[in-house]
Amino acid sequence: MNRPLAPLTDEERAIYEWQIWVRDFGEEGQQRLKNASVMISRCGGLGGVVAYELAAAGVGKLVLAHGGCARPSDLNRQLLVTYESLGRPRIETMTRRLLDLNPRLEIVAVGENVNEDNAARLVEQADVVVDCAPMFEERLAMNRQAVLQRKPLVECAMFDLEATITTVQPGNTPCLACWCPSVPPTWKRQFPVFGAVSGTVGCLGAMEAIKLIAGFGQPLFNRMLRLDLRDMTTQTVSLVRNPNCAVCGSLPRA
Amino acid sequence: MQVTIQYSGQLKLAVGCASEQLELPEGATVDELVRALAQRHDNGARRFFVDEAGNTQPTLMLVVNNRQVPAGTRQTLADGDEVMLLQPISGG
Ligand SMILES: [Zn+2]
Repeated sequence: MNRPLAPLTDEERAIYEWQIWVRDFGEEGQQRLKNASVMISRCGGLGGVVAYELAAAGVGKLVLAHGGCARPSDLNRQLLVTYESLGRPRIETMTRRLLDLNPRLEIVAVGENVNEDNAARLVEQADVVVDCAPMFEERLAMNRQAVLQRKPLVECAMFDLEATITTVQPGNTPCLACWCPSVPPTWKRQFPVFGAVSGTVGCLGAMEAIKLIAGFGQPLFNRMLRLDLRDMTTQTVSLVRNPNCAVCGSLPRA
Repeated sequence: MQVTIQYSGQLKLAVGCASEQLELPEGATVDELVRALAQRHDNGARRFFVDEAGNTQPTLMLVVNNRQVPAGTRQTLADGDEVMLLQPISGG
């Protein structure tokens, strides 16, 4: 991200005043956000909150991939979906809700989920990728492209009242396939979860993206943060690169 | 020697508990532990631990004392170790 940064307008300085006060971030950090693009794979319970927080924080461009039409069972957690939009394409409502909050936002809205065919094009348009998809086929396709294009990838996940999050920096940290090389045979498409759990991980994922773009703090490199909201415990697991990983094993350190 | 096993996610539901203790012979490896657990939870949860050939599921993340053990590593366990078994979870 070494291109010249477009400056902030007076309106932007006023809107982002409270976060420009953040230590190590400042006006330069805000300019970096304005000039950055984040790709979010699925904007449901988890990715919808990532998108909303990044729109609020003033990220200049969001590339969103989410297929299908809104269903009643989306409403417990997919905060960008509204009751009124049931039956209609989710991506349309998501785009509108984000622009309501931040009309300066540039949105590339793709009404399909990530797959092997579209992953390369989606990742190309982004500086940072946030993976919030439910299917491991989508997640592994996204991971492969992020590693190939050497883009940082925030991996967010949830189940019941549990959540995990880690950040991949291709070549320097394990990638998703280092510890999840294939679709887990026991995984089920539908699973128990609260919107307050997806929202919690979504906020953490958005914070990771903001730090990666602005270049401050310590992202979750080589670490997986595990949360259990049932008993409010956290755990940090040290992750190790798998030298035999089919995706990143041969990648030299960046 | 005795190790403490902690389960997460789907695995917790499949085995029906959040943690348990297991007695193992001295010098047992993590893969031997996984095979012992597959045997103990043979009805229902076996496929979470091992594949059809009886080897550790490649998508099962093994964490010993908060450090991940990469698949294929021959790591031996020690008395008092805490082993967390993480099943990958996702978004939605
Ligand atoms: Zn890898």
